[in-house]
Amino acid sequence: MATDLAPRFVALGPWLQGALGARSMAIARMEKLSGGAIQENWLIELVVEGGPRAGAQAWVLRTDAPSTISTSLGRPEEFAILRVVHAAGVTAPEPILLCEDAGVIGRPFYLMARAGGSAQGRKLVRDPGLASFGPALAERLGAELAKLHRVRPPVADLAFLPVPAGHPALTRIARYRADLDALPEGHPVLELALNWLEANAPPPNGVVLCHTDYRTGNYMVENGALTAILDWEFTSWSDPDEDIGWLCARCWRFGNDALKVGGIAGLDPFLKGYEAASGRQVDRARLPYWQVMAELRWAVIALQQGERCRSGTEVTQELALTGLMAAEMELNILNLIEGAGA
Amino acid sequence: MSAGQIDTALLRAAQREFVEKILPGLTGENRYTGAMLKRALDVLLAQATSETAPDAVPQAAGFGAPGALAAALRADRTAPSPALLSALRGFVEAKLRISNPKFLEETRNGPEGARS
Repeated sequence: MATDLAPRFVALGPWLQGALGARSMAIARMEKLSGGAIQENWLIELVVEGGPRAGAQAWVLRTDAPSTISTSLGRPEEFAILRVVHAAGVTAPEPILLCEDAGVIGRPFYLMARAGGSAQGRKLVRDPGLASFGPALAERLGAELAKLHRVRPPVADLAFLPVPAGHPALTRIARYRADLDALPEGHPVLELALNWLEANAPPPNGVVLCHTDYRTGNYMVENGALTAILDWEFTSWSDPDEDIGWLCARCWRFGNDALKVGGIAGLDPFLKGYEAASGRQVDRARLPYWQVMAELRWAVIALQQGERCRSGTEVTQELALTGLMAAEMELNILNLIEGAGA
Repeated sequence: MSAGQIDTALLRAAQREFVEKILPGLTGENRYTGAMLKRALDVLLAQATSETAPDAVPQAAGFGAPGALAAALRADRTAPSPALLSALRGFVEAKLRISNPKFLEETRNGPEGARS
């Protein structure tokens, strides 16, 4: 039974039928999924007759939200990344179809397989069963990240991703200084952090494919087990420890501060999974450095979001409140830097 | 009341009535929006009643206004002194007393708060 579609989706069915090589095709359900300030995700259930995807299908349609942020990749690039990482064996949703024609639904979009479970970080870190499944989940996240980090440049299909010309950490520092320069006010704690990061940059670990937003809230969990790693829009070539520092940063523990790995487990099970799958020993002494980088990055993003409201570009209380969160990351930064012996 | 002044009694009354009479009846996405509105009112009330303006903290410690201090730090990338770190901590804590006092408290008391 076909469902009534919003006007912007009326051309989707005919496009899908052609792209799938189907004899006929009916969209049975289409529902906007929660979350996604930068992207929109729609559950789409369809019945396909004929062609290689014949049968009942449950996919996710991903497209740009009305507002994006400058560092976010476009949907065609994200689709290319999904193809590469899926082929590398990472538990990412299977990429199905890409449509770059903005005439179909108004913006480029792609379809990917739907994963079961939930990605809600705040809910996950408060799950009563976390103590029993958290360590195994962290170990799996470590193994998955190691699979991703086996992808190294050059990759022809990812030619749109710039490879850092020099030290990945110093490349980030230059970027964040430029980001701060674009804001109307100075931020002394973040300047201090940038100086500290510049002075304490560890020797590079090499450059690998990094998710660059690998954290609780960006992976799906069902019955305590990982079902998919999501949100590849910030993927970049960088130092592998950047992903580990981001996952372990306090700002992504959702209040479950005692469990360093995304609020779900301690560091040991995660590193066990990562080191076994990668063959690389992680230098734990480097992690506070990348945690400072993570807190700094999130603080810069929060300030950018707040500025979108303050400047009148997009006046919402959510953006204004996100801007105020930067002070939380600033306190984490001071604690980390002082803990490292400033 | 002069221009630019905030009527804190009005703000407090609006906050209380919103929390007691409106918020409990909200469901779904409106509940989320209502929770954010409560948070926004909390911040505004804390701003209006705060005894210490965060920007005044580094100034009182002799490091100038935050903007000038940020520019100085960009220009002079030497290691920070304990006095500077202390002034910056005071600045951040003053901001958090307004925007998220619960986070500040948890950081002081949490198992990993002070050394995350």
